[in-house]
Amino acid sequence: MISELLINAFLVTVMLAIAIALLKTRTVIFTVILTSAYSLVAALMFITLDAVDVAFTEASVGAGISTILFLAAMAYLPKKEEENFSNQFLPALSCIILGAILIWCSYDLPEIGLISSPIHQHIVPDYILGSRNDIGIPNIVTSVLASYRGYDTFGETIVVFTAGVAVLVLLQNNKKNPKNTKSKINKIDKKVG
Amino acid sequence: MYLAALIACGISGILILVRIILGKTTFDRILAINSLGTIIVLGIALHGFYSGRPEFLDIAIVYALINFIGTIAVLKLFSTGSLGDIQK
Repeated sequence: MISELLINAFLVTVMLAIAIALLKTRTVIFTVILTSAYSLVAALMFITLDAVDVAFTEASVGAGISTILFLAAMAYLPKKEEENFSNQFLPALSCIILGAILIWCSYDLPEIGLISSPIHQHIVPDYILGSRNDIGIPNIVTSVLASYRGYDTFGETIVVFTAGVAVLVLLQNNKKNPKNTKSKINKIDKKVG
Repeated sequence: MYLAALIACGISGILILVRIILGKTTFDRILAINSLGTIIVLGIALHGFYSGRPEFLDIAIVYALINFIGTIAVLKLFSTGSLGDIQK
């Protein structure tokens, strides 16, 4: 138990050090690299908290795909961030107040893994007991996602699919005839002017 | 024994973190982040065996793959200036 506590404390310290380094750096590519390192350590943290599926997502999306997306976007950005020290008092104050409120609220949270906390009492026992008889597959997470909450998953899939189609349509239109969009912009300019 | 290995991983992680933060050139930092990824892969595997549940070893494998892809992407961006799209 105490070793778990030590491991968690160590990981939080490492994450804090990376976050401070992130604040200090002004090179854009180094910011992206540090963000990737941060989410690597965060995923290790999720593993020690026994949230393996979240760790899996954090490793593949947070550390992998989003890093590459940031890099691809970074090719169009200037190499260095501009320094801006004007009036940082109010943002810092609001951040500190928000953090204090969150820490204060966290005292009301149930202990991690406590079996009498509401989230383990509401409907989860039904899922765990009924999964094998109702659905007939050994993996409870899959049966919750695909059957007990099938409509939720269906809606999510539709939203993601729509977003993907929208992005594809936008990009394809732009790529096929770049002259067309340019002449459109010129026409609009003429109308406005 | 697993605990000793975990502690060794932690110490080398701290050393790598120092190199990341102080690093002279960007390439030092990229190499250090890559090594940090390797240390974390080791850490996941060791933590699994230490807490008696080595079933989560596949996450370590995902990590290793992702770490590799990320490093390749950064280096490609450095050498070509883009990630494969058409430069105007």
